[in-house]
Amino acid sequence: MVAEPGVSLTAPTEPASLDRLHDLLGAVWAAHEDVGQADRMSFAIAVTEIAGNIVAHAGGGRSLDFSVRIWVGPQHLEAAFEDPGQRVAVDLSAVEMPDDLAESGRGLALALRSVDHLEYRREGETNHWRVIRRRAGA
Amino acid sequence: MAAEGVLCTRQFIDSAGVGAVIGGLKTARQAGGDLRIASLTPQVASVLQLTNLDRVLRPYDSVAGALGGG
Repeated sequence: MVAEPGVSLTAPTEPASLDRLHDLLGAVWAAHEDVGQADRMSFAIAVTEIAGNIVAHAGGGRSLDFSVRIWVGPQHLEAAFEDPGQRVAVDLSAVEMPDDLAESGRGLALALRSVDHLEYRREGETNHWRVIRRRAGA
Repeated sequence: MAAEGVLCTRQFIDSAGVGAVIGGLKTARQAGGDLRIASLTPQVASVLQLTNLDRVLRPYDSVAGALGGG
């Protein structure tokens, strides 16, 4: 059996889990000092937005556990989220940045602008999000 | 005109934080004041640019510049 690559975190859908995710990213960068600052920053922006979306909406008012696995490839950074929450009704191809003075609704648009690939799919009762950032020079 | 400033130190901001800043900006302007931002980290500056917030909230290089800017 081949172990899954990267590092992973399973955490409840609560704001404190976003801090744990940032700690996990810090550990990833510490283990991969060759990843450029711009790639780190943009990847973290998108990963944080997806995690924030899951924390805010997946449970529909109840707490549940979500998981994320992050790995660094020679040419890309990737994160894969899973949660057993409610289906996300979103068409990522139609997501746009809201008006300048809107106070919400920027999360997915910001994630889309920060990485090269963002994907959502529903399999059975599980939500899957995939985030990919192509590394500079790759 | 009196400037109403909200100064804080954040190394990282997400879309929820951007929404909070917009809320603060609107509240301040409705009260006749203003909200200015200064000394941004690269991450915060990047998020403001990606969300177009830099169009409505011009970043200042320093707090002194923000307080003195017209």
